[in-house]
Amino acid sequence: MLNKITDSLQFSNDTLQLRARRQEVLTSNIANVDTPNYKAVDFDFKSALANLGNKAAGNPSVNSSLNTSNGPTGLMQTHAGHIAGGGSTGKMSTAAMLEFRRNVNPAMDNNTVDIEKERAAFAENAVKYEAAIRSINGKISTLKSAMGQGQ
Amino acid sequence: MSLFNSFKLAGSAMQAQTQRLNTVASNLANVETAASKAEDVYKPRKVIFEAALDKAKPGSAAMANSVEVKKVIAEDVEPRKLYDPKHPMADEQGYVYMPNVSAVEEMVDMMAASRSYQSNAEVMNTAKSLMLKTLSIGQN
Repeated sequence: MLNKITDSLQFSNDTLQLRARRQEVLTSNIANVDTPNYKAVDFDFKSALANLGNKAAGNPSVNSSLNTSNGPTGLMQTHAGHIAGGGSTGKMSTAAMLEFRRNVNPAMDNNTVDIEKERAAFAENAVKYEAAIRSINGKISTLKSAMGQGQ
Repeated sequence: MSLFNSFKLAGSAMQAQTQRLNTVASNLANVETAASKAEDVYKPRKVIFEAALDKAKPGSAAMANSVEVKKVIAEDVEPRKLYDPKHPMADEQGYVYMPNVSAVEEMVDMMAASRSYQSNAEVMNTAKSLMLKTLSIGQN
């Protein structure tokens, strides 16, 4: 029963974690706007979220703390940097694969950060992070009102 | 939690930009510092930033963990040679040597540094407000 409740929040939780991760990546780009040879990085949100979703789907009881393994013989992954060991569904964790930005004109010092683009993406991501929080809040209040039925 | 890293990262960038502003101030302040020998002249300073890169997973690009000032270099530029025999620092031929600081270049550098600083301050504010909102999940 409790599992179903946490499962319903899992998607929002994944979204929120990935948004936080992307926020961090974009912060890295903005911070390094004047660093010679720095290459702007980002990741594909859609595929990263799909990857997380696949992982959750392949391992339905991913939420209960005793069962965070990657399958019957897998190793427990309690950190984003842990390598999936042995399990059959060794999918990527929240540390999504970063890629370099393409189609940018590097500056004279080989820096590929486009500050306007990065700040726009940063602002957009911040709004979407808030949207994810609101979605979680909405789900929680739905659950609360469901629990309050009959009182 | 990764949003905490944003604080560290933006903070280190602000620190680096502050050091850049300091070198600009030093260069501008020494624009008229005369010397009687060419090799004694103040040389304009420049900071070089370096990103401390995160450990990347195989096949993945790395993001930065922090920004640091790698080194401060003294630019090797020819000093300005002025003929001014009445100057107290003048040599036997009546020349004084002035640092070759380009005030325009320094002002541009100053503006760029302050804009970057502002960007990072804004990043910090956004990260803070997002974190506070995260803390209030489920409280309404």
